[in-house]
Amino acid sequence: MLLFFMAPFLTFFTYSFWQVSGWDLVRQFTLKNYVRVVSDPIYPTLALRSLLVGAGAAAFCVLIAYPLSYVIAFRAKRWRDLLLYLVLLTLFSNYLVRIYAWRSILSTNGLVDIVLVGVGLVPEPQSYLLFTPMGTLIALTNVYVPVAVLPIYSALMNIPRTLVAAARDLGANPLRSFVEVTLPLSTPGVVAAFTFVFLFSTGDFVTPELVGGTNGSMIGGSIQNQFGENFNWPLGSAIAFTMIALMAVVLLLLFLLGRALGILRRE
Amino acid sequence: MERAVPRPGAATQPVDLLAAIGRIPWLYVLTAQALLFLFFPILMVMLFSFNEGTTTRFPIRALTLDWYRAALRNAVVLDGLRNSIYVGIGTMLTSALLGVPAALALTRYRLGGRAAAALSVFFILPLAVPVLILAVALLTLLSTLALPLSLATVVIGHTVYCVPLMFLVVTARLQDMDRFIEEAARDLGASGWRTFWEVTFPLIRSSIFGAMLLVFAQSFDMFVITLFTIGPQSTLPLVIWSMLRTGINPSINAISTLLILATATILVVASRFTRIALDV
Repeated sequence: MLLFFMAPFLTFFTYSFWQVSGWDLVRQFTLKNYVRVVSDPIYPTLALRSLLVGAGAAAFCVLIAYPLSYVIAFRAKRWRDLLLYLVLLTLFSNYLVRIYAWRSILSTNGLVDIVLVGVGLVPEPQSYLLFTPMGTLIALTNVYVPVAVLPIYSALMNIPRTLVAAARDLGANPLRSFVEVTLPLSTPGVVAAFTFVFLFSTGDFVTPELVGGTNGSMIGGSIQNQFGENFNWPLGSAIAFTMIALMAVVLLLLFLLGRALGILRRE
Repeated sequence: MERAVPRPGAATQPVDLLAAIGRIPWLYVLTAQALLFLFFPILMVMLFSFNEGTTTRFPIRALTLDWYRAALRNAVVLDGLRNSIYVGIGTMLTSALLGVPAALALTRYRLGGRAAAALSVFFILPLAVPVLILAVALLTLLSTLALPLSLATVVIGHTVYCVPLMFLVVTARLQDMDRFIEEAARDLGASGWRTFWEVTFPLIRSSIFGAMLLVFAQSFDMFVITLFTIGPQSTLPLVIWSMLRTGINPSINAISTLLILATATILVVASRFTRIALDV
């Protein structure tokens, strides 16, 4: 396993310090790739957009997944297995299929358009969402909600029921016992959910490619290009590692912010 | 809580309205919305797989099974299906061979809490990396090793991603199990090997089987890793991908519906064999 997982990353990392000349790989240490990632205006733009879309998708996923997980954990009773099954079904069902469906839903004369025109919000059918970062955000949120449900559900299930009952017995109303007992105890799940969705959606390239269009392209697309058509693996690796570093920095900052605001506590 | 003060002339209507809003079970409304949102794209795909027209647009004028017929007669689709099944079976077996011993080692040897925890994190690490990055990293390794890309390299790639799932399900089962049963077998003179085959294995067998089915389902639907580790062949998700890139082909809806139904069936069967581990 060590071999299986670490070896690819080490090779991958080494590649980022090499370069290509023509179709050949020159195995010679250089920082040129990283310099190019930082100095070429396209990559910082794409990176920023990816981080914003990723953070947005993560936030929406948590907001949608929390009530769902709460109901499954505390209220569903005999429906729990069925609801969990439905969540797992969307988790396991083909990711391409789900993204592709959004392409037609968001397109001109698609369902969203028909509804917007019908309600009178927009005067005529027009593609407002397809091939925009907003479209990407909607599709990514949809794809990764199940990823957010699992850690939140698991954190909620680990809360001793007696604690919530005790809060109620001591006179807290349902809202207060939720805000002061359940919510703080489930923050590890929320943090895990946010982290996973943020990592996955920031690095996604299929969704931007299918529903994002050129205005919505993200950094994953350029990594894929370097490994596909452009055949510049060292540059692709450098982009990927810069991105990993950026994602780590963003998560760390969010974590520190959370702690400063007192939302997250030291274990 | 403050009560809304009824304005003169407006009678008690505002109070009733507020009370009515308060009575709406918001939690359930939100849950229903979340589920609807989750299933919306899938339902759309299923619905349009029966649509006679070639566009994925409303209104639907007539229903047909033509797209299913077209899909099932398409040689490229059938070839992709066959490759997906081969890869799925290969991944299922290799993941079991790697994941089960790992789960046994981590739960049965007294490693000390910290070491075991660190190793467990390590085992699920492939799940925590953006899959694109995992895929290109695998590609660089395969090319450095000068392994020709083929269905076998796809199996290697899928295995890296699927072992964690196998590991998690089997670990959860082993932790639930009563350790005294194994200790009793040892006390009665059974060797370690015999204890495993006659006591432990029969108890975890159905979990292993369930996890293997989950791995199959995961491998069957996996796209990104396949895209980077495959040779000249194509698996079903790659066939869908190339259809998507070359234009809208309504057969995609039919193929997708069949894929979703296959996944749903595998999950039902898998859940009969194992409690799917959610408490990571």
